[in-house]
Amino acid sequence: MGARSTWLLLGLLTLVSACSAATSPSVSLQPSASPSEAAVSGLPPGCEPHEVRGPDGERIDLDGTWVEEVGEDEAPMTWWIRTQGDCVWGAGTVDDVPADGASIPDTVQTIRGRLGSDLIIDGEILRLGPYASSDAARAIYSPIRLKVDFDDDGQVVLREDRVYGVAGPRCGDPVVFCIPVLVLRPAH
Amino acid sequence: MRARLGTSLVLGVLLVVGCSPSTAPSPSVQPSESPSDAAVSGLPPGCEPIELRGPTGERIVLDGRWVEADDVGAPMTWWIRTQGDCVWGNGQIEDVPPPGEFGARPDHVQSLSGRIGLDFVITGEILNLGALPPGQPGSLSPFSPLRMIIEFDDAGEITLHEDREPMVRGPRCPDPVGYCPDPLVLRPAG
Repeated sequence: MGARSTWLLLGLLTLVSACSAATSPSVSLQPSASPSEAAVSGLPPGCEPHEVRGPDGERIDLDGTWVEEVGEDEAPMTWWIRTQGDCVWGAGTVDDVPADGASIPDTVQTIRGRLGSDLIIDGEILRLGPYASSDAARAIYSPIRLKVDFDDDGQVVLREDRVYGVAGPRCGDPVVFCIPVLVLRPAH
Repeated sequence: MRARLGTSLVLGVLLVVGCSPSTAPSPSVQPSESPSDAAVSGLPPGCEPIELRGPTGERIVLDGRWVEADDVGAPMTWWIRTQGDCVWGNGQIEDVPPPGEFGARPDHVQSLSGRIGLDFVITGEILNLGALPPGQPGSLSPFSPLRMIIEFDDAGEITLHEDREPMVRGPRCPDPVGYCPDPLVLRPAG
């Protein structure tokens, strides 16, 4: 009788264990990848593999140095862009950033976003450069949409998906303060 | 209503400064804001009001220019901007080579972003944006998680100090012999 009880208990334990294994762990219940595990996979946490191809099917690499298209009297900014899968980061500066206390917040900027299958980088842009307190109202942060575009020569261009002069986050007041549309071309 | 909420949050922050992170209110229980709400409040989506004070009670402002000497002595300038508890920064060596010559080091240009906690720790990420020569040390991981501690030296000067021991293997130091940048230490410029 005792032996039978033992076998019954063992059977129950086995059954419970099997049921438990069968119902546990959907992927979402697994521990999320730690940063070090993500580094091993080659992509930062939250970034997904992504490949950009141009009109001729060639693979487009956005990593590298870009130059901002500006008017004749303006100093172009140099941008460094890095992608990791569909995640995009960028840092832009003018050649001579003024010292603290100057009021030119556009001289150092940063971008962060995700590249979609529609070839649009949806993210945010921050103006990091020196600014006076009076500039605080001028949206230090803005959402930004950059389209991976190709000009007639097939050269890749990053072009902000916005019309200049139309009020919005990057154009708080079309008359007083409206940031030009950001257009970046590869630096060669 | 919004002002009252903001005041309550600031008061809450001030009250819990010094508590362990586990006792701090979780941002996730705060009402989330839509992008338009955030624009009205003046903070980007996902960023929460925070106010940290230094040893003498002064309000800590991280915005501005910071300097760093990296592991080979090339001075880097960092520009940092906060919006509530969100922080962004760009760093680059002071003399960036022309594009054609640029690429000796991927960390010539870097970017960081993160969130400032009530424990005076910035938790976020750092990216090397400079060119990555194939096969060169550093090409292993342009991205790394990053922890920076807001500290004060004996003179009361604020520093941002990366929370990592030098030469200890980890995401920021994949190979202590081949590629292991010193912990990032930033001091206000000028």
